[in-house]
Amino acid sequence: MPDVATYLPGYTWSATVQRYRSLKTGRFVPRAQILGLLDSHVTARQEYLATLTRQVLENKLPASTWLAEMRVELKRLHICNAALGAGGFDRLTPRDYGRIGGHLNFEYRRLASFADDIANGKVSLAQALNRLNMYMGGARREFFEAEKDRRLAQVRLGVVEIGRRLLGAAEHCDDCVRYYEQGWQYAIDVPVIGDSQCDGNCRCSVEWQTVPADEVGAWLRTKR
Amino acid sequence: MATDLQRWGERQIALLVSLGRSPRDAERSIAWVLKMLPPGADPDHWLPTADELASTADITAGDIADARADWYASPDVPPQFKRILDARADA
Repeated sequence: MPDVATYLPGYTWSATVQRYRSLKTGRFVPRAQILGLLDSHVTARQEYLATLTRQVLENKLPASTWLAEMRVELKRLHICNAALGAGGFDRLTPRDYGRIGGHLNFEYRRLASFADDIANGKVSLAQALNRLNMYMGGARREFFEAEKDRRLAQVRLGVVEIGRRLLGAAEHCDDCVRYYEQGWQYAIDVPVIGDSQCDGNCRCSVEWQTVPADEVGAWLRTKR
Repeated sequence: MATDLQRWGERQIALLVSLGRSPRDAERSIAWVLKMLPPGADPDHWLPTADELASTADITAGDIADARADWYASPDVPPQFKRILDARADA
């Protein structure tokens, strides 16, 4: 009978290359799988919260119950997404807690206003679902911020961290297209996801690369 | 004998469970509403202020434990990735 490690394989986190390694295969987990996990998790939660939002707009659910669920789901999503970007729960630091708490403080204030608008019949279903989409984008951003933080902390002799914007499966605002066109940038210059006109609707991602310092000139501003 | 608030809470829990929420999570959310609810307020029409809601934004060890438990319990996290957020440092 296969043991638990077969059904639920364990992982390690390599701080040097900022990647997860599967203990089952010994290989690094492809970045596409990590981004897929991020997006499928966010989408599943969005579907549940969209169901609740429809219920509250149809007066089948009190706004207080809807708000209580939004509150807890947003906190869980922000924490899990940050952990996924950081290399796991054990790698979250007080600095991460502070950043996540700051984001949630902002989001919760907006959420209180959103709940008031719902209770007072000031939002249509389409508007409410669009606002929900923005909250989900904010939670998604947590992954990329945690990830960028680690990239910036990587100071190794002879190599440079660079990154570039990849356009996601969504309509793109002018900012995102411009960021994409900038190609590879020094990690510190890579704009955070959501830091654009499309805000929480942004579904772009970022690709990272560690390159030898004497080759960085050949990478910058290209899309190689 | 159940109070009106207890009956209200039971209805909300049943409603959330019917929408796919786990009973444990539904109970916790409704317990939060009832804890925050001012005396005499109607839970169908009460909402916390922005300050009250924002005061719950800080991340505690309990929140991390809750997020971890939720990750493991979530049907939307495939089995092969359940343990990824508990990754150990590469030797």
